[in-house]
Amino acid sequence: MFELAKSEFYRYQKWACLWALVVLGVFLFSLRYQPFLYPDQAKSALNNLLMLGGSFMFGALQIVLHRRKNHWTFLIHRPLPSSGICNAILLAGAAVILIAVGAPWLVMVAGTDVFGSSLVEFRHYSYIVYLCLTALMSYQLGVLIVLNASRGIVLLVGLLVLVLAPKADSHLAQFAPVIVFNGMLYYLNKLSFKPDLSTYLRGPIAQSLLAVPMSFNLVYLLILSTVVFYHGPKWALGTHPDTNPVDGSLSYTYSLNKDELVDYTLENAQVFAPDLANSIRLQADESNYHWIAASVRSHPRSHQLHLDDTNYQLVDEKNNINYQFSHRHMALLGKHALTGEPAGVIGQDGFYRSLSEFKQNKEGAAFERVPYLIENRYAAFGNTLLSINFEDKSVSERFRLRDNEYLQNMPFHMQTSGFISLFTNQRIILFDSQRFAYEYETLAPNFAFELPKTISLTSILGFELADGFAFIIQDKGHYSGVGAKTHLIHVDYAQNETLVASREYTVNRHPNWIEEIDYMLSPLLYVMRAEIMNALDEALAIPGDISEMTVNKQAVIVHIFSLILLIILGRKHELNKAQWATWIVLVSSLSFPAVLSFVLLHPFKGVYFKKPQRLLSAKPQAV
Amino acid sequence: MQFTLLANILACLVALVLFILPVEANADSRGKLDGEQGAEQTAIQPKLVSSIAEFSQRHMQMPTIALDRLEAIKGFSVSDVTLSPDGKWLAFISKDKRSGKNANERIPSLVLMNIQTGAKTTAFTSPKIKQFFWSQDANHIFILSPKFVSLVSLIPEGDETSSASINSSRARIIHKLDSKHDEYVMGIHKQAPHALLVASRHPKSKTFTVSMLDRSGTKHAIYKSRHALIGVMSDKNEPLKAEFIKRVNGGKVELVDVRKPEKAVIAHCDLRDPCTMLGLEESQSMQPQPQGLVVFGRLGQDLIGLYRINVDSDTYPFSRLHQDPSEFFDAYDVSLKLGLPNTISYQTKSMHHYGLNAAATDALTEIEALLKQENLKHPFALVDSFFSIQTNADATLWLLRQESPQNPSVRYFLYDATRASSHDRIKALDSISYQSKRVASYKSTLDYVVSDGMRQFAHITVPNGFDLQTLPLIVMPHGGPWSRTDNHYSFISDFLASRGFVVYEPNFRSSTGMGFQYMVSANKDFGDGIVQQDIIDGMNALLNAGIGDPKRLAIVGHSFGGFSALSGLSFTPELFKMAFAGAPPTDLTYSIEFLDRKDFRNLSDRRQQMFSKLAVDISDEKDKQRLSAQSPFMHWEKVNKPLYVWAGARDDRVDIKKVKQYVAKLRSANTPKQARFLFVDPDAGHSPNRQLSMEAYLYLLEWSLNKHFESYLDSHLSSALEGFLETYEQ
Repeated sequence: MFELAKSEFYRYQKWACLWALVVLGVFLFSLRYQPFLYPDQAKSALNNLLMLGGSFMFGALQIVLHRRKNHWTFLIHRPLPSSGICNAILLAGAAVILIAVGAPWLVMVAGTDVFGSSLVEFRHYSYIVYLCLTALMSYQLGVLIVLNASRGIVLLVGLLVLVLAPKADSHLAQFAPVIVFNGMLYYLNKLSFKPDLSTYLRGPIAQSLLAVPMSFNLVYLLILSTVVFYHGPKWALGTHPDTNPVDGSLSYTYSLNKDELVDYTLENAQVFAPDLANSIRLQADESNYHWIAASVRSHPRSHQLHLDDTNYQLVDEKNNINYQFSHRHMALLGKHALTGEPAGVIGQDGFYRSLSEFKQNKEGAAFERVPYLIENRYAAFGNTLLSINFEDKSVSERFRLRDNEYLQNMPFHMQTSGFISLFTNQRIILFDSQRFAYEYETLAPNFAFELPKTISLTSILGFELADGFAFIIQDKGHYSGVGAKTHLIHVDYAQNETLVASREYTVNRHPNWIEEIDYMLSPLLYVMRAEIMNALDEALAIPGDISEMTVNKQAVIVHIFSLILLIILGRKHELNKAQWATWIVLVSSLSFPAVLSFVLLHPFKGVYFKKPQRLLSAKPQAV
Repeated sequence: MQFTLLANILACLVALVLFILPVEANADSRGKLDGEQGAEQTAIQPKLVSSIAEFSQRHMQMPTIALDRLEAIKGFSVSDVTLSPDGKWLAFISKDKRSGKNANERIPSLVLMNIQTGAKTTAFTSPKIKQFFWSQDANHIFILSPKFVSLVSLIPEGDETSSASINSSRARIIHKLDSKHDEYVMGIHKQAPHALLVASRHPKSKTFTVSMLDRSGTKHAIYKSRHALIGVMSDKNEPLKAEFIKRVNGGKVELVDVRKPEKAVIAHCDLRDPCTMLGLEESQSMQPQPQGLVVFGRLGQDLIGLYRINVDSDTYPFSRLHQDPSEFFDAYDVSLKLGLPNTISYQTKSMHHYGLNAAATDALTEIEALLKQENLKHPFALVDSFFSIQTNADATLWLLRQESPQNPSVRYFLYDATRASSHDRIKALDSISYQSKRVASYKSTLDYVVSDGMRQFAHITVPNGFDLQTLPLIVMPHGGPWSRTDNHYSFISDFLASRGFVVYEPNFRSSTGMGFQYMVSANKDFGDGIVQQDIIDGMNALLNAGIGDPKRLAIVGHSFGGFSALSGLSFTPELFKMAFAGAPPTDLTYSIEFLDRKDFRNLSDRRQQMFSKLAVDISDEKDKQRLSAQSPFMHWEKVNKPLYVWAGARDDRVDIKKVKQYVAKLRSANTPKQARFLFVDPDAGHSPNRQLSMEAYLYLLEWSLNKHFESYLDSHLSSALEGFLETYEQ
């Protein structure tokens, strides 16, 4: 097996090395523009495209070459069991991936660690492991797609999204999915590696392993399919709700001007302060308005991958010292920008001359959590906002939220209004941006208000009034749209806060079965998706509460229809008992997407339509 | 006791010396400097003598208070007290400490006070209140903020008949000022019951429009012109029909009659002429009389006064209604009765009021007597007090603001002319008055003759209980230079006096308030010229009179005062031990060009004309070079004494780059090393903009003075101030 693996590896060795060298060259060239470990989204996307896309292409190409006429027969008839051949091929592929993907990264990270002035820690090395695992997964996907008879396998590419999209909340959430998927793909590749590649996998485990992720991704395709049978025709007929807002729905507010928005919010609303409502209504037209950031962002996690960092470093320009946050020591470690020599430590309670001095006081000095670093002078974490002054080498607490309150996003500079907004789990707090910068003065909010109880906060719009601010808070409610509301809140300059009115929206712009189509087609997949995403990344959370779903009846009908369809299709495929049991369980639980998976994981030809019979006499004979 | 005796002896000696000294120059032949009607024109020296003696006697036994910086800055929390046209309300801005969550913040509130009951209600709270105006019907208040016009109504919406109640409506924005069109509020529309006048300029067509902004926020155009409009007077019955306009035509301001299609210029308004159209005087008798437009201005004369222009005549002849009887001071203010002047006030060395009819004259006489009594009744009688006047629409109710140059107290009184008993007519409004016991110094005026014989006067502030001859003296020229020092309380001179300095604030040539000729007699001679000479002459007069130690002199000033301080060190360095200059223009030509680049409201022509007459013609290279050549920037190498410069990083009037350049030059000099400090406040504009910024300014001022005069220095710095000072660029 190893001999085969070696010979397979040697086939690609030069190419892998060449690729690695080119990538290394690109990496070295990029140093002209920014530090190698700088967390740049565009760079990360390009890296993923090259490394993962390249691995995928390599996997597919490797098998395509083996599948050529006679090559496959030659390969499969080696004096080895087919699983051994498969192992050898995959092992060689993995080695190539390690060279092409892992080696340039390792060289760069180790080089930065040894020769550079940037801080390199375990998490930077662990990214190489993560990247290699993801590339390996991508490679295995490429292999599987070519090996397996089912063309529906291509849907498994969606698994990469599940690995890459979340900003994982824990190490487990970071590495477990990619390891599990690699194991799963390895198992499936081994099963698919057989002499006759045109035969489908029919074992219950293999089919389950394929059907579940396939169904998971099919849901997205089915949602997209609404373009064909709902959105497209509506657009064509000019009756789509996007251009014909549905009165009484929350989405209707998206089409309104700001002054109309106030009026609409107050229409049919529960008004608690009519005097204020009238005052806001009268001046909405003339007032300036400002959007306030209200999206939840995952808080930086200890030992997170460096690409998830929101900031790279703080810079003491006068002394030419860069401070990078060390996840190991939970402090900002200073290094001279040119020499890379250690130059002190910033703890949450002040500056320390050396790491050893910091370690002696680590209990009080270490940051409690990894902070957001803002505008080269603030560090925000949990409920604390620290100000770092390089001039007098001091760290002061600029503002502290309540004990059980925490930031849900970085402080946001509202440029046009001159405010800095903080979005916490309890309040919206606005500070005058100039005052915010006056480090020597006590920082007190200009406006702060308690967020009303919301189900799914979507946006906050602030209106600058004569005597303060009015805020419209939009809550899109449950996934079904039930409980969608807008709240109008008034806060005056003396910080008196009044809930002026609340309006509930009972109409959806699309029919419920379109709004909740993913739930209708497979309630369990919806819940799974919510649970998985919520576990991986709080910022990508999907409402998991399905008690307010409105299409339960339709979902039951789809379920029954799916089962009937399975029985009809299953009979055509002459399933054995184990297969029946597997698919009945799958369809009973995953509903319609599982039926589609069933179709994709079984042959079409000769089942749904007969093979065209080739008549010997069909060809006219030359006379 | 011994000290008092010594001081008295000293004062007598000084008086004797001064009396013996020959009078070097004759007094100007213009009016009387006192501003007192019929006051005798006096020689200078005896006045000085008596003043010195008076200071000494009055204050030798009073303890000296080293005024706390914060205490000095802390102003009265009530400001802009305004009487409603119906006389039922007082509206004012209150900056009391907030009781809300942010207790340290002092945010201004518009407060309404019912005059009858004394009940107060906060109508509006916002840090952005810039100004407010009562509507003519007294039912609404328009509030102006940098971006918006808001409205507070005292009557329910749509209910015109009900009388105003204390339950005022919530303030609401009625109009957003269009910055693209340079829109700004001109003031209240006096010919409409509840409207403002707003002006704007169309950037493409370059036309100017004055519109009426009613209480609903609707704009109605009144008048359009290709000239910049700076005033409009409408028909009483047709508020949308302009009758007279004030416009800028090629740099000149003129009043124009637009009642007929063929517009006629009725008056030209020269530089710094308010030229305010007050109202149309109509015939009270049955016999037809020509209509008269009453104007508060100069109308080509030397002094600002009241004039009546006959607008029925094609030649528009005008006659003078009132002018300062001493023929020295410009009119300062008028109060109105039914839209026409009722009293006129002159800011002389103190404040003088004249009734413009018999009833007003009688009322004034009575008010003066009553206030005197009230003042005496009070435990903290205001020394040298004076008052200003506001009246309601029919002048039955007068709001009097009494203050003193000696301390920051402000007292309000109401005079109700309809009351039968004289004693019932005056009522103290203690709830909105500010009574401070603080007397850290004594402020007075002195007049003297400068080297070319012109009579001028200055304010001097002296600390309590010192021998004046031994005290260091600070020369503190005012800013502008087209402004003046007056007898209002000045916290900065009080603060400096409390550090043991005599503070001398001259009204040098180019100062305003003393007529056109006084202002233009500077003859554009700033820097190394006649204006600086006036300042030095006044200082010498004081020194000769025994006020201040000639060996311990400093020159301190802000803006033009800073320019003057730099000039002092450049052209007379031998006189001063040091200088402190705040936001100083270093080259007046450059500064005027810098200002001109900020073409606000497209009034560049007008401004250029003003500058060309008063300082420099920026279109004339020779003139520019002339002024530059006598500015301190060109004479930096002559500075050989310590200099402290304060500048605001966001100064939009004086280019901070030029200030830095000047200080850099000084630092590069090979002359004996002297202290050259430049403090740059990172947040301030032309002046310190916040309390902390002001406190820092005062600290730097007293710190720099202490270095050279060993004067009192409050070295205790709050952590906030310490932190703030660290942000200064030095």
